[in-house]
Amino acid sequence: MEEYPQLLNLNPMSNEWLVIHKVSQDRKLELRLGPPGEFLGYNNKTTHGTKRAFQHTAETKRGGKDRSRDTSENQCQKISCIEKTGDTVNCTKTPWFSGSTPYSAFQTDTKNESQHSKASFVQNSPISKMLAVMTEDFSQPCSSRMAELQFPGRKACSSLATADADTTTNNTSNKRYSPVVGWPPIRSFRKNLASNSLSKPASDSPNEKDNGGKPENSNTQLFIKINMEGIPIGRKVNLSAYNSYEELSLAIDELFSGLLAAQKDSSATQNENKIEELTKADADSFAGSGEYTLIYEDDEGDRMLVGDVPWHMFVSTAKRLHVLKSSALSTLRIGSNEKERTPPDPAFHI
Amino acid sequence: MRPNWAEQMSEDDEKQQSPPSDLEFTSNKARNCNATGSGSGHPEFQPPYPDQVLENVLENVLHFVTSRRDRNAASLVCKSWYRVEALTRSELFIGNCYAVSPRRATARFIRVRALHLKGKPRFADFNLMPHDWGAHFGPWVLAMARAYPWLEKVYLKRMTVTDDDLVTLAESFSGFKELVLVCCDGFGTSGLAVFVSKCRQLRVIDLIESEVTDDETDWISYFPEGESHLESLIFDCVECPINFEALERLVARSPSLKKLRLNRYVSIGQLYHLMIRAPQVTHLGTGSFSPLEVAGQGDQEPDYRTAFAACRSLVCLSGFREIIPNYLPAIYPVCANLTSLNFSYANINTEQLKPIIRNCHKLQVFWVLDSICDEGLQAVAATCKELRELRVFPIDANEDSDSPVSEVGLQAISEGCRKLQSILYFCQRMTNAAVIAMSKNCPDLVVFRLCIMKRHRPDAVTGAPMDDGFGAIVMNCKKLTRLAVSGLLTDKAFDYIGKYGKLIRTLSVAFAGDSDMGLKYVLKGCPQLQKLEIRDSPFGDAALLSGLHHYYNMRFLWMSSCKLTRRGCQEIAHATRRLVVEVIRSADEEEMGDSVGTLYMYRSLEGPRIDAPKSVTIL
Repeated sequence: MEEYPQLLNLNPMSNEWLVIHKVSQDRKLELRLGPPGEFLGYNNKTTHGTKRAFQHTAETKRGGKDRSRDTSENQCQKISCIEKTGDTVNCTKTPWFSGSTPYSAFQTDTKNESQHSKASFVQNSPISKMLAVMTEDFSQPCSSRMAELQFPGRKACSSLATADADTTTNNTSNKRYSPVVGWPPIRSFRKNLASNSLSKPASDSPNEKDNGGKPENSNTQLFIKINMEGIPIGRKVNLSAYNSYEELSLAIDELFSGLLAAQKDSSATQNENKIEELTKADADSFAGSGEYTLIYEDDEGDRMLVGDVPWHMFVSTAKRLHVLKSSALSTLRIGSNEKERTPPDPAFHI
Repeated sequence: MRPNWAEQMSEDDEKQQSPPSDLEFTSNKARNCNATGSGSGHPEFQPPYPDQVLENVLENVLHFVTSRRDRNAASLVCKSWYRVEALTRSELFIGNCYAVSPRRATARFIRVRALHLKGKPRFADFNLMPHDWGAHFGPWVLAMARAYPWLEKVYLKRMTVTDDDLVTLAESFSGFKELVLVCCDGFGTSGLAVFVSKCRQLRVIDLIESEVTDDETDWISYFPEGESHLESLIFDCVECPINFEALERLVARSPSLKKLRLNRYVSIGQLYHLMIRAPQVTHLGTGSFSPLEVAGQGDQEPDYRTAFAACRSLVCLSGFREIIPNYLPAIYPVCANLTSLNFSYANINTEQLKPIIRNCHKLQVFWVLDSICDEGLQAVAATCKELRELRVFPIDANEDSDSPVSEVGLQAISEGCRKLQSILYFCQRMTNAAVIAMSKNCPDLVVFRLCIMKRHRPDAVTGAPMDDGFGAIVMNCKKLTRLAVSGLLTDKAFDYIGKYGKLIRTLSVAFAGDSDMGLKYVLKGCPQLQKLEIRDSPFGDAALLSGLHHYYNMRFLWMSSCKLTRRGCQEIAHATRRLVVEVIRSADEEEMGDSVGTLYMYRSLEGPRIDAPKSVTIL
C-alpha cells in the first residue's frame, strides 16, 4: 500500500504518520521501493476474490503483459510521475511504452491497497468536480472508502521494519508505505470486503444495482483494450479506476489525443472541443454532436453503445472499447465480431 | 529396521519407507522359502508356507483398517505386515509432497485408489513464498498414470496444478470420480473444460479457495450430455462468469447432486432457478445473493422463500458473496435445520443477523464477518448451543481499524457455546480474562486461533502481555492440538506452551517472544509438534539448534523474519541427512549477508529437490 501523505488532506493523523514515517524511512534505506504488494511477498493481487499464489497467469489473462511485474524502478517512475504532476491522467504517457497506465502501480491488492490507491488517485485528479462525482457515484462504498482515506496514515504507522517489511525508500521524494507482508493472516480473497462494501447494510431497494457486479473489479485493474478508428495502435484503459462515463471519456480523450495529434494537424482544437463536450455531458445524457462515438463489446460479444446502462453494469460487462468516428457508425466493421449493430441513437459521444 | 527410527515413523502422518529393510525383506523371504521347501530339488515348487496363510488373513483384516495412523502403526509390526499393509492401502495421504517422491510412493503402495497430497506450507497463502516455489502436481500425476490405473480420487491442497495436469488426470484414469482442489493454483477454465469433458464418471469436482485463471472458456458447457453422476459441484472460488443456461441444464440432469456451491457471478434470480431444479441439495453456496442486473428484468421477483423451503435436506449454507440483506429472510425456512452457515462474505450487521441466528438451534459450524459486532456474537451464544466451530473474519483486515468485535464477543461465546471445539477469531483488542474464561468454559477446544491484528498488542484492560491467557488455554484445554497465538507475548507464554501443550501438533507464532528461550521451550516441551510456523519473532540459531532432536518428527518448520543466520541453518543441514533445509529469499531482498529471510525445513526421504526456483537455496 502506498501513501501520498502530501496529497491526502483527509488524513487526520498525518502528523503522527509523518513522524513515524521518518523513523521507518531511516531503517529501510537499503531497500528498494516497489509498488504496493510487488514486494509485499510475491504476489500481485490482481483480482479480488481468489487466492493467488502467483501472478503471472492471472495477469496475462487479465490484462496482458503490461501489468506484469515491472521493475521497481519502473514503478518508481510512475509513482514519481504521479507525485510530481499531480495529474495522473498525464502520467499515462510515461509508461506508455509498456502499455500500462499509472494504475498499474496500484495493481497489488493485498490489503485495500488498490482501494486506497484508487481513492487517492481520484483525489489527485485535476478535475475538481471529480470528487463530487466520486462521492455521488460511490453510493454505498462511499462511507467505507472515505473512512479508508483516513486510514492510510495509520496503516503506514503500523508498518514496522522487519526483514520482510516492505520497502519505503525511493529515489524520489515519494514516500510510500506498505503494510507488513501477509499480516493479518487473511487470504487475499477475504480482504477488501469492507472496501467492496458488498451490500448496503441498511435496507435499500433490493433491485439496486450495488457494486456487486464489480466488487472484484473495484479492487483489480480491469484493463480492457481500447482502439480508436484510424489509429493502428490501441491503448489499454483501466475501467475500475473510473466512476462515471465522464471520467472514462476524459481519460480516453487523453489517451488518444497524443496519437491523434501525431496524425492530424487540428487535433489540438479537436481535443479542446472534446473536453468541452465532456464537461457538458453528465452521466445521464450524453447528448452532443461529438465527432467520435464510444462503443464497447460486452461479455456476450455484442457491440453496444456506451452510455445506456448504469456505470457499474457497464464496467462489469464491458470487455473492449472502440472509439469510432460518428460518421462511420453506419458501416461498422471493426474486428471480427459476428454481430454488428447500428445504435438506435447516439447516446454517448466523445 | 532400526528400532528408534521406527518409533519416529509411527507418529507420523506421512508414508515412510526404509530402504534397507526392503532389501532385508526380500532375502528373508527367500530364506523362508528354502527353509520350508524341505530341501526338495524343485525350486519352482513353493508350498504355501505358514506366513502366506497369515498374510491372506492379514490382508482381509487390514482392509478394515482405514485410519492412516493405524495403518502406519500396522506397517511397523514386522515385514509381512509391512508388505500386506502396503498392498491393501487404498487411500494414500502425503502431508508434504516433497517428503517422498512419486516413484517411491507408487513403488510401495500398488493399489491406491485415492491420493491426498499437500504441498506448500500455510504461510504461502499470505504472500510469504515465491509464486514459483514448487509443489507441482505434474510429476505425481504422471507417476500415478503409470502405477494406478484405477485411481478414483485426488485431493490436493496448496499444490500447483497445470491445465496439462488436469488433462492427464482426465485421460489416464477411466474411472476417475472425485477431484478436490483446495488452495491450489496454476490452472484455468480451459483445463477444467477438458477435465470435465473427459471424466465420464465424475462425481465430485470441488474447487475450494483455489485460483482459477479465466481463460474465457465456458467450462460448464463441457460436461458431457446425458445424465450425469455429479454429486458435488463446488466452484465458488472461480472468478469468472459462468454460462448459466449450461449450468441450469447440468443441474437439471444431475439427480444425485447434493452439493452445489455457486460463484458470485450467479445472481439470486438464477439461484432460484437452480434451487427449484435441485431441491435435494444438502450443501448450497448461494452465489452473489443479489440481483446482478437492475430492476426491470422481470416483472416480479420469484418467491425465494418457497425455493428454500423446498430444500428440505439443506444443512449447509454459504455464499452470500454480494449480499443484499433484504433477501436474507428468504433463508428462514432452512435455518432450523442448518448445521453449517457461512456468512464470511456477507457484510451484515447485528440487526440483520439476529432474526436468522435466532432460529439456528442446530448450528455447529458458523463462519461470519466481524460486522455483526460483539452483540451479534452474543446473539449467537444465546442460541447456538451446539456450536462446534466458530470463525470470525475481519471485514477490514488492517491493523489500525477499529474492530467491531472484542473480548466481549469472545466471552459471550465462551459462556454460551460450551461445546466449542474450534475457534478462529480476528479482533483488535482482547483481554487475558476473556481468553482465560474461554479456556475454562470450553474444555473441549481442539483448535484455538486468536489473531489480535494489531501487532504486539497487550491486554486491552490491564496492559499486561497476553501470556496468561494463552497459558490458560494450554493448561485447561487438554485436547488442544492446534494453537495460533498473537498479541504481546513474552517467553513466558512459550514456557506455558512447552509445559502444558503436550498434544499440540500445529503452532503458529507471529511477532511474539523475547529471546531464544521462547522457541527452546516449545521445541523441548511439545513432543507432538508437527508443524511449526513462526514469523517475525526474535528466535535465532541457538534456538534452532536446540530442536535438532525433534525435527525429523515434524512435518515442517517455518521461520521467516526471525534472527537466523546462514551459518546456523547450515549447521542444521550438516547435522542431519534427512532434512531438507530451504532458505528462501524474498523478492526484493538481495543477498543480505548472513541473515536468513525465510527458513523452510522439512524431513524428506529424497534429499534436495530439483525443481526449486532461483529464490530458494537448499543447504
